[in-house]
Amino acid sequence: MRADPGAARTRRFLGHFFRAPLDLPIAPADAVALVPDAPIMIETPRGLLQVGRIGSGDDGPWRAVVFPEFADLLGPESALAWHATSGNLEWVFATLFPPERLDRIRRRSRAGWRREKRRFLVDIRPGLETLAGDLAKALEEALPVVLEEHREDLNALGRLFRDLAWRSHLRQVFQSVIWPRAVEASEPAVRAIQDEILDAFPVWALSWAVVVQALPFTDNARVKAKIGDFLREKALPIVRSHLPELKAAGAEVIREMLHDPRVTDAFSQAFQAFQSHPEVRAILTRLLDDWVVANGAFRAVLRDAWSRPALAEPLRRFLSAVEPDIRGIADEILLDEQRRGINPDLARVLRRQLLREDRKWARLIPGKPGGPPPSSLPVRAGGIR
Amino acid sequence: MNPGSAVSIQGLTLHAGTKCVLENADLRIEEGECVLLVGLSGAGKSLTMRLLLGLLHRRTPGFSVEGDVRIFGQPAEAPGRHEAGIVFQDFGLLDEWDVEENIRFGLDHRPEAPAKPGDLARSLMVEFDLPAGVRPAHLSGGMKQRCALARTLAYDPRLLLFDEPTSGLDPAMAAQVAGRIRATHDAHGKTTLVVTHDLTALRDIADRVILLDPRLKGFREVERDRVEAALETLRGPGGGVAAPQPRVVQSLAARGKRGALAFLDRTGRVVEGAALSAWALVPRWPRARWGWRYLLYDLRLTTLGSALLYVAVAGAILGLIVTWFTFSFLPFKPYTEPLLLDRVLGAIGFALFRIMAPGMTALLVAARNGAALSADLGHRAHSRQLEAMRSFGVAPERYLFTNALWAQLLGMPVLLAVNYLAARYASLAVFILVHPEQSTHFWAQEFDRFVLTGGALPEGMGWLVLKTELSALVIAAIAWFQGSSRKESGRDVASAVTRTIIWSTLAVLLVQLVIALAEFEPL
Repeated sequence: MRADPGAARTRRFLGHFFRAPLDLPIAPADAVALVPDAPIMIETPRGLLQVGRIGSGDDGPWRAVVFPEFADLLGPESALAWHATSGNLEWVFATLFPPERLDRIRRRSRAGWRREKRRFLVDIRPGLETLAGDLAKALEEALPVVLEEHREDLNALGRLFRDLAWRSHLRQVFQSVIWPRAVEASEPAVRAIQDEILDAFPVWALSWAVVVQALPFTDNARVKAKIGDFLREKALPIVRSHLPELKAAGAEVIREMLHDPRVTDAFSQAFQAFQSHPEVRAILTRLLDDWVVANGAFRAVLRDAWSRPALAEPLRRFLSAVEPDIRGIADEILLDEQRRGINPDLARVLRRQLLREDRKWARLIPGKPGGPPPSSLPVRAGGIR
Repeated sequence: MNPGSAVSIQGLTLHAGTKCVLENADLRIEEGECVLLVGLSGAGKSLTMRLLLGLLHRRTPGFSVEGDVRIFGQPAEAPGRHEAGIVFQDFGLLDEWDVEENIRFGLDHRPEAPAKPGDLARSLMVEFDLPAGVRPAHLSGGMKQRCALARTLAYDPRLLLFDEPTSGLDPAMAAQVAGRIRATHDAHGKTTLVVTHDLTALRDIADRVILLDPRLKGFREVERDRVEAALETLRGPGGGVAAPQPRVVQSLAARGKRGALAFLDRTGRVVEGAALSAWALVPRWPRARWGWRYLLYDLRLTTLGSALLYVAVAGAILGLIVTWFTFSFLPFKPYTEPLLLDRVLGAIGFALFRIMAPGMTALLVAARNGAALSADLGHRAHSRQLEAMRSFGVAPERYLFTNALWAQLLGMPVLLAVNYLAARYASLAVFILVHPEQSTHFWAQEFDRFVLTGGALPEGMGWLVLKTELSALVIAAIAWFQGSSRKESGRDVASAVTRTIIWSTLAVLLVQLVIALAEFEPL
């Protein structure tokens, strides 16, 4: 038989005067810091619904006051979960984007992007290339002027690097760690080069050239030419033939140094000392300001970028194509499931952030139906919710 | 001056407005005499009688009184005097009390209370053949007059005044009344002065006949068998009451001056009334028994019964309208209601408690109780009940104004509470309708959110009491000053009621506005 809604409303009205709320003792866990009058709520598809409140505190024992309309929710194993909503970004994100919703949003956005990506990238690439070129050109043209104008700043940077980084941190580690290790690592290759050059050294030819050059009316550049010939024709090919070994040795040294805390600490300290120095910062700021920020041409290119048809038109087409997806995502965040009102989760966030409500609340975990109401309700920490 | 004179008037000059009624007039009535005072209509007979009762005196607005008027050697206007009692033409019986209580009123207000007033009242009822337990409205004209006479005798005055006692009666009845006057005079040993123009019935009961002569602007004794001739002479050409004066066309400046003076006079009376209202709050009841009875009467008139139902129904409608329309027309309801439901309920509860229920109750009470009090007082003024009270040495304001003020002071909070509770639970009923998923206890929690803030009393209770009680006083004061002024016709009563409703509703709105401005800081 269908219940008469008028009679039900009358019963509820009269019940307000004759049905008192249930008053249950509660036992909070140690980590739970209850506050009096905090709401006790349940989660419904339409959002949180208050079903009671926390009573007493301070002097008396804590109580759970459950409104009589919701007394049926109480049963064996009923409990309260205590939530102290912080309102930080993590909570906002977790509330607005529960996994199912986030998954739906991702799928929707991916679908839109996948559908329109190719055409968009093809359309926009020429425009982006032109833009990148124009930006680079603007920077490039400004660089010499900036360097010239800031010559003293650059010199000062050099001095500061020497004082702050090299002398204080790098020189000592270079002399005690890097250089000895570099010498050691390159020694086989250097020794081989040394031996091969000595073997190839034209002792007799050079001696003869010295003698001849000492005679009157002879060519005074004979020795110099011989040495030059030796270096070009013998020594350099020998060194070149050992370059792979030298490179390998160098790479080995670098690899080792990158893992050597003495070296990395020294570089780190040097970099820190250098970059944190107020004068260095001031100089770099001035340089960047003049090069990029005050660069009229650069700014003009950027300012006009989206008015270029080559960029604006592909973007407009793209946005137009993905608009249903964007609107769907917005609806997902803003509206409830029936798309008739505000999303309950967004309402919670707005209430928490704007109205400073529902910061601390208890969630009623319904008990098994049919059983007698519990004699007391345990309260445990409920985490982010 | 003869110390044995019951009435002694010497050198009396009386002006009513600009009209000279008596000029240097003398009159003497000896103790134990039964005297007829006759004259044409408008000659000043009733004014003379009011002078003797002390109801008209030097301080009466609109009149100028000079000379000496004494009753048994005492100035007629002396406070607490009880030597004169009157039976008014329209009796001035107190409608709200039955015959016995009317007589008890006279008995209880004697300067020295009799030992057994109940027995005395009942013996007077037997003497005058009056029924018990009947209110004046249900008495015949003759019974009313006997009742009025019994009441006046109960007060035990030494001088009995009758104002046109046979007016409107057939000759047989008039003769009967005349006989009763004489019999009472003889039986009770009073001095009697009968003011009349009915010589036929009354001439024979009088020891002397005094004519109020408009030509002399004074009194002269006339032999009984020559009275009619004297009156006829006065009615004749050149002898009658002064012919109506030609209408004087006043200049604009004169009318403006008169209007300004009238305005200043009214303004002065308002200020005087406000001061008097404060002073009238002090219960200075001549008799505590009657003070309590009139307080209960005024409470019944202003607070109990229909007034409760009236404000309850209005409160229910208010709560229903406010809640229903707030939820129905909440801007962007699907988006704002989930966010603001608790705050909206709190705002409704706050507005009903602090603004709407007090404002509506004040308006309703201003209209209903203002009209009720004003009509009650207007009727008393019109039917000479106020003058009757004065004739018993009772200042009517002691019972009627003081108690009207207290009835309002006591009743208004009750009416406000009923109005608010009705509005509150009508709001709950609407809430159940529009939010079936929510608990009624959630409603109560949020409805009281800005009112019950943890203090011993609701938030703003002081302001609430202030504006409620101030409104109550203003309503009672306006009703008193409008209702108790002189009334000559039912139209005057209706006008007073209308003015009371207009002024009291405007006044309470002003009170509510001014206090609201002080109560709530501007945004």
